[in-house]
Amino acid sequence: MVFFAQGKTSDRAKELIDDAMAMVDAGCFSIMCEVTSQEVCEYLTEILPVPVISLGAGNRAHGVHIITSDLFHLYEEHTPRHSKIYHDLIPIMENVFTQYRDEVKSRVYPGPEHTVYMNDQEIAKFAKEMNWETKLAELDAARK
Amino acid sequence: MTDLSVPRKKITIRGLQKKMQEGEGIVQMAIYDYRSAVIADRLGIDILCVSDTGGMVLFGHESTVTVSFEEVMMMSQAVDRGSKYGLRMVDMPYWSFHVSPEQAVENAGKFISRANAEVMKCEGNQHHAKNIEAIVKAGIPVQGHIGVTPMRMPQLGGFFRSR
Repeated sequence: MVFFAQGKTSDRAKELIDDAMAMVDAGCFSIMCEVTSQEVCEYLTEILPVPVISLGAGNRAHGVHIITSDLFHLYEEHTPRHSKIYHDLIPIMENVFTQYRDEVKSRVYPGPEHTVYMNDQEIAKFAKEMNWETKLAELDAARK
Repeated sequence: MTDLSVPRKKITIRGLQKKMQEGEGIVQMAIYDYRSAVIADRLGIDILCVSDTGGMVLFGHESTVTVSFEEVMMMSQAVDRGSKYGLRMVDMPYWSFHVSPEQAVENAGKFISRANAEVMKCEGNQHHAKNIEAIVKAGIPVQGHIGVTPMRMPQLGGFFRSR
């Protein structure tokens, strides 16, 4: 989705101010400005009696909003101009998924450290009682 | 580093007013999963906003207008389970408060009773003000959202990327 910033002309800015005023009159405890020009957000911050929060509307408001996924680049489809990628998790996820995929294909994962075993006595008993030939052969080979 | 051993106060609207007067930046984040809620809440994020944007990130919607009421409800419940201190806000989904004051109040109340939300966020303008006012009068605080309001994209001149 492509956004167009709002409130870059004086006329549109006045409409947005009217929208914000209408919502404060309706009793809103706070106003969030999403991708307006900084001037719209700054003006509202000066005149409104409630906290104004900026989402991509500059750094003059009482507070700031960001979308979690935008901090980590988790929505690859679109990165808005105002979002700041503090850490790109996509290459990290790709790297981990690749390692896992390859370790399954090459039979590296799961290793002994990730695995639970019966003790020797119980294995022998279990193999014998079940007549589990492949395991009995394996135990025989280990004894030799 | 945040000192996690110091007892903290629950974030309230009054607390936000105080931060506003004292010039302390208010930190609001769109959060929509349990683990992010736990971490954000532990680190002192003021407002945890369950955003319908989560429907795009978690469920692959192309915009917020198709994110369903139940999807937002599930995300709201997850964030509630993960947070103690932050103000729990829910971004009311598309067409959940647009029809009438009655519809707006009914749906806002569901986020309180089913997801333990504290406050709502509503995209709006002069035309939605009466529905938003009804929510506030019913006792549920609302943060008004102006500017780029993704639910009104075609009117604002935005467009969706073709598939």
